[in-house]
Amino acid sequence: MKKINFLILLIFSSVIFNSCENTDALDRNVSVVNGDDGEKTQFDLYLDREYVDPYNISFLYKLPDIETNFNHTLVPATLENSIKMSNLVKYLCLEPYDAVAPEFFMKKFFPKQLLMVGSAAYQNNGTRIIGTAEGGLKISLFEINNLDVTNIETLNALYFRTIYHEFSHILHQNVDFSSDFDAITETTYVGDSWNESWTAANPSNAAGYISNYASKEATEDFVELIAHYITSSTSTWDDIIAAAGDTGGPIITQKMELVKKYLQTTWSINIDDLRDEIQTRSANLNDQDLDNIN
Amino acid sequence: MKTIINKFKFCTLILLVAFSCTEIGDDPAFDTSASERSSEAVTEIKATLTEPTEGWIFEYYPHDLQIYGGYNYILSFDDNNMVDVYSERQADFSIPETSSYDILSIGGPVLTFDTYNSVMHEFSTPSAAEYQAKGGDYEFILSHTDVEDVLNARGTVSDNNLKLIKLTESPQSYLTKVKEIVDYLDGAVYIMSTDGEITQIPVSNRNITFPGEDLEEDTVVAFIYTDTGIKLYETTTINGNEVTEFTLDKDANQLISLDGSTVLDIVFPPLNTSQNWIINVIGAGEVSDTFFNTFVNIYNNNGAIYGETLSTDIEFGNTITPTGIQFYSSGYYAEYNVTFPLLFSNPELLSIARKGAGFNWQWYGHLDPLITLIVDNEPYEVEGTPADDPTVVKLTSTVDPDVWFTIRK
Repeated sequence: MKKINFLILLIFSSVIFNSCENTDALDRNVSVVNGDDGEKTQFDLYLDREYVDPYNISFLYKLPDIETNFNHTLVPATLENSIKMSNLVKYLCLEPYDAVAPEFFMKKFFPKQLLMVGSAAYQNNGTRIIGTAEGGLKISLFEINNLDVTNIETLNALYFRTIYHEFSHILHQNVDFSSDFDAITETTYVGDSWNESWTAANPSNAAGYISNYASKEATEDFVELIAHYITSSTSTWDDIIAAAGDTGGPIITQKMELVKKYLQTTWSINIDDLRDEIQTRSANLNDQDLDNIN
Repeated sequence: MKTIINKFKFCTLILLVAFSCTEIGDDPAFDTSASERSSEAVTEIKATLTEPTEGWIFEYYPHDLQIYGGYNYILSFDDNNMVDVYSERQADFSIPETSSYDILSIGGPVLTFDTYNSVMHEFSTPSAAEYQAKGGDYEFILSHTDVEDVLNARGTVSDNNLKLIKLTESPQSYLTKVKEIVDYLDGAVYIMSTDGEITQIPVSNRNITFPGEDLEEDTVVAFIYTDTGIKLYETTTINGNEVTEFTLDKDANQLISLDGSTVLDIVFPPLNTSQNWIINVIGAGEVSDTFFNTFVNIYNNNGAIYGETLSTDIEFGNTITPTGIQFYSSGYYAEYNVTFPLLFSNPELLSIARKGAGFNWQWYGHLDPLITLIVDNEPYEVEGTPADDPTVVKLTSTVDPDVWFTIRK
């Protein structure tokens, strides 16, 4: 019997063309949205109003195959689910940051393109990629055709932790965090073997990591903490710290203090306020009309 | 790998176009710039696509080797970049699925279906089991042909050369005619006479195999059903004649090439083996004692070897492609592939021949005694109920009348 191993979900950060790194420096003051020579739909007008004008973000809901990379077979997202996702990103990401961050923060720093992909990006070993980020400019979200708006945990696992994770990379790439953070678990980062280094008997949280992927390197550790913290309620976070044990729990808490300090002093963002905003909105998600593009 | 290469080719084309537009500038050989000509081509092809009231027949072949054969889609484009898609694969093709399309200018007009359409993207949608999907395309490089009202559409992933043909009747009308042909030929067997020699022409998954001449290898070519018969993916030489399309003649029960050079006689075997049948071994009066006792032996052996329970339902016919006999053992399938060659001496009898080990058979060779019993005692008399479209069929060996079994739909 053919047995397919469904391994853990992967999050990739990649720059497809390294040669572009030096020459394609992003000018965040320049619009990334090209003029459209076709007639705009109601959804296009909605995206202009809610994404382009306030944030200079291009919400890419159509998928010409050439937009995808060379390694995966992908299909576009349904229009219906892209509409829902546009409202979700606005409700659970853009607006919460707006509520706690300085004016124009999101317009200046948030990735300029969000690409909706209908299918997962399956690999030939049975694993699948759930999100990619290219050079801090573009976040691709996969499995939009399987969108389940009734389950906030799934929404966070499949989409929003990816977004928060990648966005946080942009922040520390603009202003680096303290080397004190690197030093906390400097000797236990495992690099690319993060996927095979941890077992049930030897879990990553006991070593002071919020996720297996956080053990890859300090920058991933840093952004994983942000992504997990703001998608966890106070009680859930307390449970996570408790589950990490007498060694891992205090380490995660120590790292989190540095994350809080960094966001507050560097970006004037109180991460607890941000978490409260996101948690309140998550609790009220069922009241939202996610099909509204008027 | 071919997919990757094709995408590289595609991107190379883009880069060439991009640099040609930005650095070379206007070509003095033309009255307009390259970008203007490209834009005009897009405008012209869009006007062509949106012009027919009824839309276009799209003869679609997924996979770079066309292993699934061809399927008919009907595409009706509007000016607002929306397209209605119908397909013979829909259970109900009275209602289209609508999504968006675009015409990109990438060295030429490229048609892309850029929001998801479950009908159009069926063969392109990947899964954990098929990470490259079924090799289907959803982007096509369009070009005109020498034939009016026919466009070429080359898949950017498969490199398959497909056709868009202007439709002159409603999508439902055309697809209904196609469906009638498909239904009529369901379960049919084809034979061809060459110099007095009769040969069965194997057909599987909308691929047809013509025998090679002299020492040449057989030619396997995909085909699609049309409203009048079948059409091959590409022109194929059969006994020295170039053949592309066959017309169904129901009166003569023949598929006849358009030039009349090649005739395939249609024979309906006594049993339609292109569908699934079930043998219920423990049902009262369902199998003979000989059959039952052989099953009990393999049932016990299977339990002794693996501690598994062999299902008393056995699948027969088109189980997992290709045709075969399939067992189910405590969560695992195992299949032995058999064929049902036409018995020219007596087409009313069902012939069964070994083809080879199928899915998981390497682990379940101890089930072979039942295969041996079935195959060694062919051919079988076929007694179906009801006679015109049987759902219950008793197969009785002509070699040993004590070997018989019943199959049910």
